[in-house]
Amino acid sequence: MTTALESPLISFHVEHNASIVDFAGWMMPLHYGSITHEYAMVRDHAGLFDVSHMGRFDLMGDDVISEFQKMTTRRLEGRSYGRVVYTLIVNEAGKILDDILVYLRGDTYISLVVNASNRSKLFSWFQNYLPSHIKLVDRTFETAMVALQGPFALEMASQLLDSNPNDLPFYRFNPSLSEPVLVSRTGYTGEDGVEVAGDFDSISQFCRKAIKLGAIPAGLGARDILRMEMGYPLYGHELDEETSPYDAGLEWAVDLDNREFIGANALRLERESSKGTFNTGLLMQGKGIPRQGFSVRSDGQDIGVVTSGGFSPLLKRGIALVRLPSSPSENSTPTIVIRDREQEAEWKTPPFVPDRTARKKVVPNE
Amino acid sequence: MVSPVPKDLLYTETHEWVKIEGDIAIVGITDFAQNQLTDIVFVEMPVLGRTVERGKECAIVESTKAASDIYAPVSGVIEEVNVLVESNPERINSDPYGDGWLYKIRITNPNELKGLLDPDRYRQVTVNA
Repeated sequence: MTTALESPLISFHVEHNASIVDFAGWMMPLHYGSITHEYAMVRDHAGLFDVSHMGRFDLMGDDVISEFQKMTTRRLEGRSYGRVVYTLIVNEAGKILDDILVYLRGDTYISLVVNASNRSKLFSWFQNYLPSHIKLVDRTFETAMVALQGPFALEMASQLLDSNPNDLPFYRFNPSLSEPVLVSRTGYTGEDGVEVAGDFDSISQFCRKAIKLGAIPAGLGARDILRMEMGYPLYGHELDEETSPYDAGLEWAVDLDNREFIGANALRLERESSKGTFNTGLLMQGKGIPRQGFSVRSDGQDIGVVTSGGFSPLLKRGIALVRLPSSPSENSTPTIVIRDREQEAEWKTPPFVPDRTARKKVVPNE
Repeated sequence: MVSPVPKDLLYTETHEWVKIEGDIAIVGITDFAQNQLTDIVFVEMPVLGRTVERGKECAIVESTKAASDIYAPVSGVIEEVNVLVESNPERINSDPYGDGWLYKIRITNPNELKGLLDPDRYRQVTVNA
């Protein structure tokens, strides 16, 4: 019997009456009283998420970027330091092992954030393929990480950090030596915000001060709804080892031309076969809430499957991310089978709600 | 925290509570159940006049997390449903034993009442859950 791991912020969770669940072998807060309330606070104010369960790795050594990109679907060379790059890691068959973030810190130093459920798998994978002169260190258990997200998140964060996070463009981080923490203008909610990683004390302090400024703790339940409304993929739903980047609608995350990486050849063959898998969203018309695995039908035929489903508190309706073997016909009325009954839905290309991240914002020093 | 189990009600192992008023059984879900479900967003009520059977699914409650079947604790005919809860499902979370009641059954087999759990037996169920 293995015991589940505890977040370093567990006392913070207990203090705020968290309802704790086992997530990927970690005891994490599902909510602190109401998923809907925490969701609303992130969309209207600022929510604070503990994401310490996610894997954090450091890689150091000469040519670390050119070596590591032999395992990433996206090109990492030629991008500026201080950038965060979203990439997939695929196996030789081109199937997705994980989706990760790569922090380009310098020519001999990069950091990775990986999904909690894939931490061990990826550590072994990387260790197996990296040349011996590259040092791979798992920093997960020495660090903590949180996300502060919402329309007021930046204002709060600027009071909590030495450097001004408003100066950070989208998907940039500040590896300032004076700051004990790594701050990135990233997130998984569709709101503007930051993600902050560092030693236990610094992050713990950050949390307490953020709460004093009016942020509220938000759990995994709210996090799932927020990302689903944006159409962001979640490993184990939109992504898994049976799924290629093309199956998942992530062609943009594959840089195939003039480079090689593990799985590139399999992906070239797949690209040529032009599968046509179509990923989109559905908005329910009635009361039913779609869930992963439910069938999507149209004109009496099965046309696809729900990869993620839930309830949007903003739209007050069920929403689904769906995968279809081919794009649906123009005039089709889609339904989702919920408890043996076909319930009507409407096509909606995600995001279901407006994108309020820093993606569209012009930043002073860029 | 889960509030104490009301002493004037009867219960099922599937976390429904029952209040008997003559030949009518008023049914809802317990505080333990609503706490497990988290925010309830939709309720699918049984149709008025429908015949229901003890132990069979009678209504559905959808929370942000999952859908949950609500069972008929006794056999009978659906007499009334709580329209307030149909439009304000969050009442089930905030007042599970009061305003959050779900439906009323006109009992057809009073013997079945013997099969319901008393408050202490139900408390055992929640402790062991």
